[in-house]
Amino acid sequence: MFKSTITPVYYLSSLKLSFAAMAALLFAVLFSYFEQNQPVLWIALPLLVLAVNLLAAIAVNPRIRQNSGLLIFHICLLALVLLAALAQLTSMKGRVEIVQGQVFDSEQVTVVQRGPWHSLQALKQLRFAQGDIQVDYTENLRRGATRSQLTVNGESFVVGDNRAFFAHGYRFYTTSNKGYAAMLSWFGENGQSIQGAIHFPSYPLYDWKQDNQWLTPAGQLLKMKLISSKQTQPDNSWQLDSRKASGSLQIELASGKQQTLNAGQRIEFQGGVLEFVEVRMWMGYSIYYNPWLAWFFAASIVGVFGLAWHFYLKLGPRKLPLRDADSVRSGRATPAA
Amino acid sequence: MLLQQPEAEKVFFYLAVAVFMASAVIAWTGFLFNKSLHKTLVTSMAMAVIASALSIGLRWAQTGNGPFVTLYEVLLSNLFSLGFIFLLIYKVIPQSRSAALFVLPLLSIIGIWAATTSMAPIVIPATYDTALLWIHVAVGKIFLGMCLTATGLAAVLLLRYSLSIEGFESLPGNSELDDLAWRFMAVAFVFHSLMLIAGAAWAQDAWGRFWAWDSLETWAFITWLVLGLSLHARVTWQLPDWAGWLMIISVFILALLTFFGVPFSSAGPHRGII
Repeated sequence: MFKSTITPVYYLSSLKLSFAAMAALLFAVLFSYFEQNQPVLWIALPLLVLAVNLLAAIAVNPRIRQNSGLLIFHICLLALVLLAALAQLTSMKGRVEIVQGQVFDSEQVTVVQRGPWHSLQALKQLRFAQGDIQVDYTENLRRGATRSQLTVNGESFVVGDNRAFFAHGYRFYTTSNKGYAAMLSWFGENGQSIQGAIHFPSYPLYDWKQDNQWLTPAGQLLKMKLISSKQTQPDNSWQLDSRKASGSLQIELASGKQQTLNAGQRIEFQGGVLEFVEVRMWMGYSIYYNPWLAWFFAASIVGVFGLAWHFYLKLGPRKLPLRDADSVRSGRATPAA
Repeated sequence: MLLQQPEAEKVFFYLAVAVFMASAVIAWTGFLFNKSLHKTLVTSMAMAVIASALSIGLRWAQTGNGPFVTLYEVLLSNLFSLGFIFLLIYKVIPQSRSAALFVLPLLSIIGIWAATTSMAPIVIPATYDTALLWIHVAVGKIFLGMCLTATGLAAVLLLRYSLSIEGFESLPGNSELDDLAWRFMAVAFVFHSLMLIAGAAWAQDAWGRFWAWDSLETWAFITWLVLGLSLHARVTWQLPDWAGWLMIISVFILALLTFFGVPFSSAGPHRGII
C-alpha cells in the first residue's frame, strides 16, 4: 500500500520529467513569441507539470532534501510558480487619463486585465487630484524626465519615470501617453449645465492630428480641432509644460461651417450654448495592482542565494592544483594527465 | 597638442580593438609555437582593457551618460567588462588560460563590430536614472564573462576532440577543462538569475510591470532556461562530453543574441518613446 503511493511520486519527481517540462516550457515560450499569442496560455501547462515535478522532487528526492541550498532554490522556484498563479487571480491592470485640476474617478478607468478574485472596491475609494505636468524633451523629440504633480489630502508630491504613486495597493505610473484637453461648459436651454473635458490625441506623438468629436446633450455631433500654441521644438531641448497650455478650438458644425473659439468664447446651438473654457493637459497613467510583488522579490532573491550557496558548497572550496607560474605558458598549463 | 575629447575617445577605442587583436595573435602564437608568452599576453590584455576604459571614460565625460543606450556603447562597455573579467580569470585560475585562444578572437570581433556601428551618442531615457540599472548591468556583465570563459574552454575541448593538433596535448586534461567550464556555467546561472531579478525590479519601477514577455525579456528567459536545461542535462544523463560543450556554446550564442541583437532590433524595449 505504502509502496503503491510512493512509486507515482517518484515518477513525478523524475529529473527526466523536469528536463522534459523545461524543454516544453522553452518550446511554448518560443511558439508564443513567434506566433504573438498570449504566452500565459501556452506556458501554463508546462509550468503546472514543473510545479508538480518540483513538489514531488522536494518531497522524495534525497539529493534535493540533503542539500539545503538546492532545497531552498527548488522551494523558491515552486513558490514563484504558485505566486504567479495567485497573481493571475488577484492582480489588476488598467489605464486612466486624468486632466489637470480634476480628481481621479475610478469610473474612468479602463480595466485591461482583472483576476477573478480582484474586487475594485479599494480603487473606488481612491481620491487624488492631478496637478501640473512637465515633460522634458531633447532634439529629435526624445523624451526626458516626466514630472506629474498629484495632490492627496492637501499634500502635493511629484511622480514620474521611476517613481509611481502608490495607494491602497494600486500603483499609478506615468506613461508616454499625455496631451491636451479642451475644457468645455454646456448650458442647456432646459437649465442643464455640465462641465467636462475633451481629450485630444497624445502629444507630441500626434501633434498633426489634434482632432476629436463630441455629441452635445442636444444631439449635435461636433468635430473639434485643437489649435494649440506650439511648444514642440524638434531641433532643440524644450519642455512640454501644462502651465503654458493655450490655444483655440476649431469647431466644425453639421453644416460643414467652421468656427474658431478662443478661451472664454461661446457658441450658440439649437438647445444650448457651448463655452470653450480653456486648454489644459491630461496625463495617462497605467495602473497596476499585485499584492504579491514583495513576495515575488523575496522568493527570487532567497532562491538565487540558495542556489549560490549550493554551488559554493559543491564547487567552490575545491582547490585546483597549483602550478609553478613559469610552467604556465600562454594558453596552456601542465600536460594532461 | 592635446586631442579633442571625441577624437581621443576614438583613438583609445581603436587602440583597444587593435590590442585585443594583437593579444589574440599572441595567444595563438604561444600555443602553436610552444612559446612562453604568458606575461606578454597579460600585459597586452591589460593595455586593451585600460584603453577601452579610457574610451568609455572620455565618452562619459563628454555625453554625461554611461555606456548604456546605443549598440556602440553596449559593445564598447562589454569590450571593457568582458576583457577585464577574463583578465582576472586568466590571472587567478591558470587552468582557464587556454580559453584565451577563443575568448580573445571573440573580443576582437566584438571590437570590430563596434567599429562598424554609429558612434553618435543619444540621450539616455529618464527611466535609466536608477541604481537598479547599475545592478542589472553589473550582474549581467559577470554572467556574460563567465559564459564567455566557459565557451572558450568548450571551444578548446571541441577543437581537441575533432582535431589532433600536437599543441593540445600540453593543455590541461579534458576532465579538468570540462569541469572548469561547467563551474563557470554554474556561476553564470546564478548571475543570470540575479540579472533577471534586477531587470524585473527595474521594469516594475520604470514601466509598471515586472514582466511583460517583450522581446528582450523573452530572449533573456530563453537563455536562462537553456542554461538551466544544460545544467539539468549534465546531472540527469551521462551525455557525451561533446554534447555538453555544444550546449555551453549554444547558451553563449543565445546570450549574445539577447545582449547585442534583440535590444537593437526594435525601438521599443529599453528606450524612451515620445
